[in-house]
Amino acid sequence: MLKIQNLSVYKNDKKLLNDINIEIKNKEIVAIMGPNGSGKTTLSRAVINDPELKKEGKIFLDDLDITDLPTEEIAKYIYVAHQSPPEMEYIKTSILLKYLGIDINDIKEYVNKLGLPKDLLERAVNNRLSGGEKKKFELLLMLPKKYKVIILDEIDSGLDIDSLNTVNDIILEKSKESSIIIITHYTRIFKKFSPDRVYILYNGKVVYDGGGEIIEKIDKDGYRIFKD
Amino acid sequence: MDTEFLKISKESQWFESKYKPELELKGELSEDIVKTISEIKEEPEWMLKNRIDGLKAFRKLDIPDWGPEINIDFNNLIYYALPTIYPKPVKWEELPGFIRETYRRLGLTKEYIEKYLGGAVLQFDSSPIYEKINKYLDSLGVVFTSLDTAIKEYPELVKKYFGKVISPYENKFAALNTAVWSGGVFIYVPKGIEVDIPLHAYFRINLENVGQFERTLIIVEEGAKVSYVEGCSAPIYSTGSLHAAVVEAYVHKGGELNYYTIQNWSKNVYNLVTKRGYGEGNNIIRWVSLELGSKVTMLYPSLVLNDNSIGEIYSLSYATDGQILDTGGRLFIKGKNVRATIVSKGISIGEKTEAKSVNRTDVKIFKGAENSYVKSSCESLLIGKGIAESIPRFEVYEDKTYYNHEAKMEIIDKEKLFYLKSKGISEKEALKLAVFGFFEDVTEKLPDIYRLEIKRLLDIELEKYGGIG
Repeated sequence: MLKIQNLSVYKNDKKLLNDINIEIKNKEIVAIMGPNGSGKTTLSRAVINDPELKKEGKIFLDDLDITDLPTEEIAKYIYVAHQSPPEMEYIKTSILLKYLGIDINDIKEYVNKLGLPKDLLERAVNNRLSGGEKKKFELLLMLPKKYKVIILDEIDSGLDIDSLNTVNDIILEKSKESSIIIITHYTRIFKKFSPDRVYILYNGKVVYDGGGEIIEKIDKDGYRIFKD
Repeated sequence: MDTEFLKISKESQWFESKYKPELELKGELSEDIVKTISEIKEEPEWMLKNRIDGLKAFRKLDIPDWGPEINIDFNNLIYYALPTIYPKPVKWEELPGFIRETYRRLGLTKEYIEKYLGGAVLQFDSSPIYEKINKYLDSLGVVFTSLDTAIKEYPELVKKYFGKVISPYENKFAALNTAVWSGGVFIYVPKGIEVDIPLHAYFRINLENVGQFERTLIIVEEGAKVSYVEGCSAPIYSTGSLHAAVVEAYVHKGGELNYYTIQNWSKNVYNLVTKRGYGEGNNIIRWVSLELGSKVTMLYPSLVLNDNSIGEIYSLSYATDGQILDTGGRLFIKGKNVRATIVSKGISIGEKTEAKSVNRTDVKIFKGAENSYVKSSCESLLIGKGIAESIPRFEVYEDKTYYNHEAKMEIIDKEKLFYLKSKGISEKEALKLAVFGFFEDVTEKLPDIYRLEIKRLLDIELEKYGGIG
């Protein structure tokens, strides 16, 4: 269970998140939605303790207080598929995989399935990958290991419809062993399945905490329904 | 005459006052000092003449008006000290703490050092491998000795080649070296001989090769082939503030030379070094260096290439807080059908203060160097407060030729470190990945003995990294 308790987050003295309370049970699929700039990505970065962010409040993973654990420690339990992964010019993908203890044979099938470039392993990390391909690479890296929580940050943006279907399959498969948090401002990823619960973030605050029925409403009227 | 001629009886200074030279020549550089050095070494007249030429050039030339700032008080330098083996603490306890720590990390214990290194910091004395290698080299007719010994045993060879590749007028520090050089290596490979093991400075005993003004001379005869590895496992602490070495290599027709070096002086030293290989034609000359130590380094290994030759220069540098490593390479393309490359790669890791690496490449293609292909590239990897500069230069006098320059820069910023941390990789490991990845395309081409040494030394350097995040 991931429990975010009274969390406020600051960057350079600017308050980005305000008194957030979120609870995600084991193997739940939870959506965190909201318009651009509402604090969704900040939340995912705060969970894995981005040293650039200042925090008030607590974050627990089961009974473990992970609020101030180093990012690389938290990474043992929580996987974040980043919204905009950086290119690492001089780090070869195959070397990164080796460092992460990932056996290439375990992921080969998915390199093809996800439509990632055949020379992926020989390339530098994220080098010459399109936005959609970077997202797929983020998914690829989480496949061989078992995590308590997986956070997918805007995983659906930049993906074509076929890829989106593959991604949906992967999410459903992974949800058998992990809690999944889907961060998105689109609703289209929920055409094939519904999240167990939805949180709506607006201006750094949780303004909705409830069932998936809200998605249809957002689809129709947009996030402005949460204005004040 | 301001010359100070000091017979030292009381304790003088080498790190923590443990080094006692019997004789020190210091003060304003004069003909007296130069003559005295030559006399002590019982040199022939022609070598003294070389030294005097060096002195004249030294007086005429200024320090470079470009590049890093150089503050050296030439009137306060020790030009010669007896014994010339530089810091040579006798006991483990006398080694500075950081050197002890380095040896420990290299897996060398106090007992090992005292037993096998005879207390010397550098030389692997009297090991069986040394004798074996000597016998083998003798059977090939290869000479691998100190330059001082070579002057006595092979005077004609030294006389013929000394200063032939690097003139004292090359720069002020080459001039200074010519005037006061001591220590250094002499290598001679006879016609047609291919030496299939890399010659390593470790294999030689009593090379006085850790002096400030060492001089190395390499001669490769027609069709001969040799690799030379010059380097040191541990940082060498120097009392002198200046290291001004000269390395010259003359490669006859069809000869092949691979020169590998690691510079790891302590971080209080100006390392202003001149190195050049000359090829008569049909040569393969490969020149690789890794610069780790010193406060300021200026080193631009250069190759002079004639017809049908392949020349490669790989300059690697790793600068941390407070260091300026200004390096790269120079190519002089004089003949037809030359294939030549300079790859200059600098890492700058500034944790608390600036660290700077400069990639300086200089290519001159002479008229008549038809059908030559020359490529240069400058690459920088920046971390924290590290900064870098790339300064390429081309001078081309031949139309029927091809040349190209590339420059690349990669910054490992907090965002990239965060990304790797979020995958479970610590900052130190992340840095390791980046540093080894950055050098990989060069290091994978190197012989094991050199590549492993680089890896070991970088591992030690990277251990010291505290983080910028």
